[in-house]
Amino acid sequence: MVPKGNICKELNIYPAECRGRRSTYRGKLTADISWAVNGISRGIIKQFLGYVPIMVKSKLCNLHNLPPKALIEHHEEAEEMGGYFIINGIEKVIRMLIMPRRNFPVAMIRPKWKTRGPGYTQYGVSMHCVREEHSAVNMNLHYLENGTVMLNFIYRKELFFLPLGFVLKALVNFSDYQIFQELIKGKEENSFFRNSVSQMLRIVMEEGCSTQKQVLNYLGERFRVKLSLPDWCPNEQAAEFLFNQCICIHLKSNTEKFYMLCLMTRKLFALAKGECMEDNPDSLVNQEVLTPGQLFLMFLKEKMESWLVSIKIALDKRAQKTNVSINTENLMKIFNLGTDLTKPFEYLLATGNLRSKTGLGFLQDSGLCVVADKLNFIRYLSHFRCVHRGADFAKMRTTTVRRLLPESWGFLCPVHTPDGEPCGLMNHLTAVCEVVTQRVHAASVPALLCSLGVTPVDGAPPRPYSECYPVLLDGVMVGWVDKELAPSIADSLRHFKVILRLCELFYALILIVSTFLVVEVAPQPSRVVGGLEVRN
Amino acid sequence: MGVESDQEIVQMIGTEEHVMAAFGPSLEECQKAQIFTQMQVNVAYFRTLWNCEEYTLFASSFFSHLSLEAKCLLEIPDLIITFTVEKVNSQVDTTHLEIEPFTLLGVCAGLIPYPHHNQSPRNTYQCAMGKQAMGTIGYNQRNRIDTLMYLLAYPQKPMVKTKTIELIEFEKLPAGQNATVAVMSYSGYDIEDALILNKASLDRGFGRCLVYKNAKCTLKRYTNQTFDKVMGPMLDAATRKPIWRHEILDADGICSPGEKVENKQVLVNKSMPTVTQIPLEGSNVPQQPQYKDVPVTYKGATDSYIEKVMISSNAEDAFLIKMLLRQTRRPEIGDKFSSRHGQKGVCGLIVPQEDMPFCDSGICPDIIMNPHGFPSRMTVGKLIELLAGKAGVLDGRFHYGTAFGGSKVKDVCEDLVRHGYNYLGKDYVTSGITGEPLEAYIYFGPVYYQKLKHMVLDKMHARARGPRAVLTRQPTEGRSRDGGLRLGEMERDCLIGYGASMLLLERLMISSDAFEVDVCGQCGLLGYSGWCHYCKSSCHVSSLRIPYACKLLFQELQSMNIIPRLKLSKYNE
Repeated sequence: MVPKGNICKELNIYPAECRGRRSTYRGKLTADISWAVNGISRGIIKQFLGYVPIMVKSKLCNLHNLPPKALIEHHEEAEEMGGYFIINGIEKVIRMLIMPRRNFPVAMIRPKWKTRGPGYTQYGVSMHCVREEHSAVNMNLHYLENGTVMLNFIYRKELFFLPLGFVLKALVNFSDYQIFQELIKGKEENSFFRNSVSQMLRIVMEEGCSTQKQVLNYLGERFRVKLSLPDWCPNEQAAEFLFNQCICIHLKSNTEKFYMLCLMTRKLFALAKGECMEDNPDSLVNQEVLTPGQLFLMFLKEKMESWLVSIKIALDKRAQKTNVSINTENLMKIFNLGTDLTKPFEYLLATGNLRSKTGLGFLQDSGLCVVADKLNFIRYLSHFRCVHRGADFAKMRTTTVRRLLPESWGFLCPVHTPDGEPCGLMNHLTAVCEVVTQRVHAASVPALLCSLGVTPVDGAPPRPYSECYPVLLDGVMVGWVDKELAPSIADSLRHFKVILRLCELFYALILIVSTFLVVEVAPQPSRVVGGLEVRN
Repeated sequence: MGVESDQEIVQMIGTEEHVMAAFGPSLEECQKAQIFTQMQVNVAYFRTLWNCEEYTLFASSFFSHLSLEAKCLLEIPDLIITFTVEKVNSQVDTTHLEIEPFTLLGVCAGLIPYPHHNQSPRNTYQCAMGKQAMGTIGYNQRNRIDTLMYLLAYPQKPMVKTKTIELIEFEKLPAGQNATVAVMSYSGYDIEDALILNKASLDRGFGRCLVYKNAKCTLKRYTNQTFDKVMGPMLDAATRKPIWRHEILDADGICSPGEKVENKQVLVNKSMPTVTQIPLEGSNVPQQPQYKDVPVTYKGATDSYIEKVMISSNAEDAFLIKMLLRQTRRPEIGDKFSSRHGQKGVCGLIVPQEDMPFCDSGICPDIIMNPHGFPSRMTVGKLIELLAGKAGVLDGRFHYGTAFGGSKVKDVCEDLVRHGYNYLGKDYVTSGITGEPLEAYIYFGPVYYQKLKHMVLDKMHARARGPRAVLTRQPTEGRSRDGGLRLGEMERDCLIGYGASMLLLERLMISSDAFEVDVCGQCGLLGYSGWCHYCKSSCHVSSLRIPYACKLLFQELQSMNIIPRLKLSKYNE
């Protein structure tokens, strides 16, 4: 009972109030928009973009870091865990989804790929590229019957194919011979491979593109229709834009992309010729978990982009009608015409349906959110431990995706999966398992690797390439290492990590696969980890 | 590793420049994070691992002497991991050791005592069932106004707990009660997993639950400056007392907390203006807006109590009135219960305590469970839970049933013997009906039982007459719409096969959507009022009864330019 004559002393809104009032727990999103005319900066405008839901107990939540006593004062439980959103008074949880492992070339055999066009085979190497800010794009390399390679990517839900030669030539200003040398590393004696590589480069020449500039121009001319770039943008820039948006987006420089694509190509040839095993995409080893924050961030970025586009359209329209002078006042007026971000977010969280132009690199666009019903504590807790394989797999007739694999020991509960339709697709993390969320910067690790005996990418290793493993670090090809040296390097890295508790290697993962030495330093967010003791 | 200072670390690695460049920054980072000793690293690691400060103590006492490494999935093919210290094998060069085997399980599976003794599907069933058990939601559960909330009135800590239960603090928010179970047959009302409940236990609060529902009402403002009103209770002209429907209303027209609401009583006496649009220009507007009653009424098979009333405003600045209604339910026949081993059953009979069997120490079981539940299910874990629970009760302590560990059966049985009980957990039991001892010893002891949210009260449904769907005039579907019970295709096939034509006619037409139509015998089309509109005559029109859905089909076909014609012939020709 509220006593008479009480006035509200507290301006903050707390989750309990939103639950009671059936409203959304949200915060104002304002953006600092800096604008420039012809490259001359003209200041910053503060613009309100809409309300976005706020996760309870997140850093922006009013309950963040409150001690139990204060939580009770705000009608919460002393041990309130948070981690959910409140939409129209209902507690909503964004489901964790299993995604392909980021920034790692996965060799796959898919009979379905044969139908992609004449000459296509079932062999491919695919990579789920994720930037540091969690934008994701899938990319595939296809092996063709004639020994050439096609690169396949998705832009705005549309599928595109590009011969690999064009991409390689467009990425770096290397001579054809240099590209050839890079591609055949480790397979110098294989005449078939040499032939295929030269064939791929010949196709580019046949189109009359002999320099990097020509290739860029050629690609830009063909792709600019789909990129919606302004007319004054030159073709070369359009092609660069395409590479930025679609190809190996986790890598910053074009040279890095080039080396990565070369590595993927070598892996693809190895797969097609039966020299390496197919990776199992159903194994937890090749998977990671999509966390609510990532989905939220991706969605926010996309909606902010579409806000910018809407401003552009509004500006164009205004400019056509009258000759507007571009000043702060006019711009602010136009900014207010932009699409609001409130509705899309509430829709996403209230229904769990994803309305997006790009699809965010997901396979499904519904069932992303569920109500966190509290029947008992276990029920509530299991919402936060649940990982789903993806709605698409529910339709699959085969049982391979549902199988419990021994690798998931200690990560997924073997017992806790529903029976019936989602059996094996909906799993739960074990009690001690956690998802890595923080990312540690690993700037010093390449230097450490070099000091341990890894030859940098552009250097020549002391032994022939066929005697070396390529070394991957966070999805970047960093160099080559002698096959005999690799185990000892892995051991010393582990020594640094465990015994000396080198922070950067804290969640690091060191392993030797038949074809690679992969050092994933730090975290690679979204990976699931459990605890383990080390015996010395 | 006994490494104390950063200085020592540096000395161990070497002070060469490139090495320092490589890991120098990380040492600095440690310092920034206030981590100086190895113990602190351990603690920091465990904070991240368990995300909870309480566990640092637990963790550090457990593992302080060992180095820990985050286990990454990808590395596993590269490691040689073992489970127990004994199994560390120097020949194969074991590299790692699991913290505990039970870390294999998730939170729901971790709830099961002795899961390693159960058949695996039973554990999976329990994982699904544990999520339907009623219990405690949180310490703020009485402050919440949820659309639907089930609470157990007297939840208890399980007698047999597991490490996982402690880790996730299930004990503090439990969902179940320790019931004394006798595994024996009783009365025949226990077939097909049904349970027999002790009436006196129910009186004492076993399985009693609270069901909270809420009712909402918003008071809106309309475009023509009118708004919803809440009126006070209507008074009976003769007695000057509120009429029955308005009995629970306060003077403000909203039900008052603590009152008992019966079916069809009014919760909020809301009225709404008849005209809510802006009137057209020129039309005369009545000065006083007219109101019509749109009360929020209570619908429910049983009475509820008003727990609390909340008045607030919602996002559109309309008044929001929320009422929390409470029901206290004691278990009844048909309510669903389950142990923690995927063994669910409904209550088949409630027996007065006088008729229940009792053991030689005078204990009466709360639940009698039929032993037929065990052989095919193979839930040995439940048997061991009973033993451990019984020993725990006698000793006054909790036993552990952690996966791949827990209290040993042998130790537990010795405890039982120490207290003068049979070491197999069986008891000498006297029948409550005849007063004679039962011919067999009965397996007898406490087992943690969960009450599941499926209750007869929410499911019971019957209908004689009731609402019909508008389009087909057939009875509506579903309990929420007071629907009929469907006589489906397969049931229809049975009746056809049997030849029960009159029953068929009754079920499918007379009790459903019988409709009197006039059919013209000449053209075969439907007419009305004894007149065929096609033949412009009434001489061949006869009246017959067909399902309304059939008539609807004819008309729909006609609308698509297909004429269905009925051929009529005399009954006796």
